[in-house]
Amino acid sequence: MKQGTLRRMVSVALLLLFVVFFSVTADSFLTWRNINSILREASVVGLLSIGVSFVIIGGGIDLSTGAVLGLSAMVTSRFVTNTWIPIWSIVLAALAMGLILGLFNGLLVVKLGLSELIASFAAMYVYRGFVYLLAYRDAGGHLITKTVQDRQFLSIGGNIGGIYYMSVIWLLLLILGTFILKKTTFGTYIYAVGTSQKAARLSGISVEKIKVGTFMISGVCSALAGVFLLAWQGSAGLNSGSGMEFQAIAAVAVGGIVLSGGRGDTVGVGIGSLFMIVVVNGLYKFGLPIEVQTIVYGAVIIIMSVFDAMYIRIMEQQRIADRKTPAAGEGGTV
Amino acid sequence: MRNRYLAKTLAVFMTAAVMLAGCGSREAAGDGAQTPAAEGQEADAPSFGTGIDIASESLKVGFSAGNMDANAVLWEQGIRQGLAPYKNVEFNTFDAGGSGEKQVQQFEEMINQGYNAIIVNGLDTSALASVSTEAETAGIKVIHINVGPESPHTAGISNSSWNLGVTVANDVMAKMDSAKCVSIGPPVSMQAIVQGAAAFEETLKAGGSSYEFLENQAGDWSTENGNEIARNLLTKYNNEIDAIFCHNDQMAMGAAQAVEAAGLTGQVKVYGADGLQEALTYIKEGKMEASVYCDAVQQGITAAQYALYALAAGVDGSTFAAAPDIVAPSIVIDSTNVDDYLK
Repeated sequence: MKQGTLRRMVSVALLLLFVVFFSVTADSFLTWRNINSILREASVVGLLSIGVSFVIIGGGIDLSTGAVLGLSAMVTSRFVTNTWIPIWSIVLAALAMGLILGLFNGLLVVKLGLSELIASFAAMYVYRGFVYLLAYRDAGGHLITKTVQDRQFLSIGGNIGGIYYMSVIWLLLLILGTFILKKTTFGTYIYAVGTSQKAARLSGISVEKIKVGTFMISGVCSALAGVFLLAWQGSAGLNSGSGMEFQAIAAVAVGGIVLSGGRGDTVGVGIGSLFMIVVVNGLYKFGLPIEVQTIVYGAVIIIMSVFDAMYIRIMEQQRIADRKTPAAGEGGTV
Repeated sequence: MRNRYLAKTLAVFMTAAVMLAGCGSREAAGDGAQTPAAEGQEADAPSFGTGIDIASESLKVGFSAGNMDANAVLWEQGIRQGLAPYKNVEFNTFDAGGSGEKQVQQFEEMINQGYNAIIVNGLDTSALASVSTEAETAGIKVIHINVGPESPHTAGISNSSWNLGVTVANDVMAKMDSAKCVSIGPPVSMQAIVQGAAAFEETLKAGGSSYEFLENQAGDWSTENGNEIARNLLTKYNNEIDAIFCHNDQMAMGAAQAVEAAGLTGQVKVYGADGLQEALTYIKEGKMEASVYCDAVQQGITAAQYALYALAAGVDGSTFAAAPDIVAPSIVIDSTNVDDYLK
């Protein structure tokens, strides 16, 4: 069995274990309404996770995803509320903005030589600053909140047959993401860059272009998450998306993507996003004190990361052992 | 005992609800109760639904705190006290940890779990509008504390941040014939909801040209930050500041330290909020002018009791022309009455 498949089976098994446990212990867990809630919540974080997984597989990190989400939601809210531009073009503009912000992040890394951590960390503050600049104010200049009333736009947050559009889009993007990573040259190059930039460069891969590309994907995914969040909640807050960048990274870690790069795929990230939301959702059912919820949330991330590290080590040892053991028929007498 | 308590609760709230229905609306600033549920209804013809037996049925009440800060802890304490006589009520607290998205998520969770009433201190009432409406439609009583909702709700228990700013400005104007004032408000990310600084500015402006509002700076609620901002403001305006309004007592204590370091204690009046015991000591020592205080525990008790009344009487967001807004009073604690509050 392939190493990746085995790792995924472990993730799925853990997810199922929690689902079964919560289903047995909490009446309101396995209801259609609750399942849809889980899927919707997982979709927003999941969209961020898809984007950030490209960056991480490519050996980088993107801390600006939550801020891009917030800016996308605020810009979209402004356009929907203050203009008569068709909704579809506003959504496209938001995605284009995400693409440009991703490009900006990428250029900070490849042109200015900043580390991904510093570049995206700084960009996070810049984008959050723009959110404040664009926020709604009353006549006296004081900040206020405003609800989006446009029904056509809000219908984006709606559902078909009880399943939310954002969940459908999320699932489609999970598949598309894995296709890009596994079946295209671009995807192969991302793995190559994430495994070893030096080797990738020696192989003739433009590391810079790949890095910028992954940041642009991350930007688009974050912007899309912002549009869906706005359509769902009807309001773009000054803090929208704040802290979500870490949830996304947690989902990526739980989903089997190694934070040093070069491993994993978006289907695993999808499982990771679901896993995180299921755990939180299940914990709510027990009415546990807030501190217990937080501890469990952090513990899950630690356990999964430790598990991953051990798993990779065992697999590496296994591979080395396999190489040392002569295959049948190869052994000969001296 | 329980029946007597129930009867008292019902009597108080039947009267309060009818008397208070429709009061306290302040649409523009987003701090007061609004009336979307009232459309198409006669203001004087409340329509009661079917109540439930709150003394015997199993009930679930949830408290959704935007952030489990000092006030939220007191609200929770009050809610527990309000529900204490009813052993059939299960009570749970959900802390959104400052995240609007998480609060919506937790609100949905309470709807999914079939809670009977949700008491909420909203971080972003616009974002909560959709789930709040969903909850009311599902028959869940939604009661907002402090921050005014923009959607149907059963009641509001308010001592808004707007009232806080107005109270402080009025105190400044009552004590000084003219004044140059600054404020240290909440973090920028919260200023759309916590609007005391805006209210302070607007009230001073309305007070005439003798009162000048110089500027508002966003703080982070901490003493260190209050100190740093106050120092910078004093330097910037060459110590020509007469009053500093800080949105909580921690920042006010920091500002008072900066004023003391500049040798201006007594000349620059420092105002805080929340009535912290440590801040009251500052007032007693003359380092701070006043702290505006609201009994958060009592607010929690009122919220819990109104939730029970609403369940028993079949009251929801559509019962009255406007959801009742029960205003909790602001108490100004200064040198004249500080001994009454110092423990």
